[in-house]
Amino acid sequence: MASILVIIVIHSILKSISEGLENKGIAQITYYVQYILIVTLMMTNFVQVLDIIKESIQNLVGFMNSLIPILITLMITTGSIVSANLIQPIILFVITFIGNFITGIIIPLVLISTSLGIVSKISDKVQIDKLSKFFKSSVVWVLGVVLTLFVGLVSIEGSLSSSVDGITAKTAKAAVSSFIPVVGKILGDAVDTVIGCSSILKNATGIVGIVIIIGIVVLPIVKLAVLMGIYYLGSALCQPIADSKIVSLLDQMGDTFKTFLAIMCSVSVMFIIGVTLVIKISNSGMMYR
Amino acid sequence: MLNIINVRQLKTNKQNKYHLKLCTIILSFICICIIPHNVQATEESISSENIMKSQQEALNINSFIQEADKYTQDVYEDLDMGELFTSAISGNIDNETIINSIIRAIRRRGF
Repeated sequence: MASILVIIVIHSILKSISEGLENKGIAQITYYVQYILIVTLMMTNFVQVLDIIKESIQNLVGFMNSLIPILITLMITTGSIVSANLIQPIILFVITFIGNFITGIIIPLVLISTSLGIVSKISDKVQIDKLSKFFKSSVVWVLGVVLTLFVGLVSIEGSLSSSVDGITAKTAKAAVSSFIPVVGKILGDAVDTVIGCSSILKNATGIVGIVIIIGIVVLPIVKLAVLMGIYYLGSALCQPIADSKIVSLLDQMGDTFKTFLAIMCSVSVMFIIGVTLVIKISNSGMMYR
Repeated sequence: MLNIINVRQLKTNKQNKYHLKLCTIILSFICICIIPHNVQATEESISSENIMKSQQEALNINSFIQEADKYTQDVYEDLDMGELFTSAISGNIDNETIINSIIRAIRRRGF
């Protein structure tokens, strides 16, 4: 950011000199040179951030693909068979879908929106600002819809199936306790102990999973937040001296990083909610005992 | 005379039967004591810790924790995931350690 600020200051000095000479051609050339330099510097940041986001989303998806089967197995050991059968395909599908959707569609859309924003600020003749805004707002809307659908589907299916599981397990335990002579009561108690232990293990695994999800996303989120703040601050600082297009370019980059931040936050929150719901669903089934 | 003899015979018969019963009981007791019996159960009681350990081994949770450790090596350098898992089982998660390691990782990156 410091180098961008230096370029802007140098350009403003050159601009005032060239305006004094009343030569519009030189002013235009200095503007283009400055613009290219600033965009080049921004793009190095941008590419690094893109790599970090893609890597962290791939890590998240990979980790979730190893966490969910263990959680589902632990759910089955706690007696939540119906919930496990209902939730497993949804969660695994949604996780893989979100990973591919973000890396394959959302990130390219943000890229298109950013490049359109950059192009529209080169000169007054080319105006494609609205298209860039459209892409950016559609990304946010799509993310919101996916988040709502995921949370809604998992919670509704989970709340329906957990009661079925709870009642089934309670009936099975009552049958074991009353129909098996002599050792029926002991067997029923043993089943309860094993289910309780599985539940503790499941909760502990879920908590470790959430801590790891936070660990995977925390550094990219902090980096994006810092970059967003820096670009907004830069545009605010440059406003008195720089060209209005350069100010809006810096603002645009701040918006892009804000969109990336929204993507990372929504994905991590979605996965954290998913893991929490898996834990919660089988716990609520246990309440029936 | 015959009556007296009959009564004596009846008494000896009763005594014989009693002795036979006694011998049978003693013999059966001795047999029970002598016959070797093996007990397969090795532990007197099953604790919940043992159940959890066996479940951890059966479900291969330890390998999952090792796998998970790879994802966050650069963030949680001081945090052992196995210890975190054990503390989560007992319900004593140290939030401060987690937060401190995150803050340290952020500082290391120079933010």
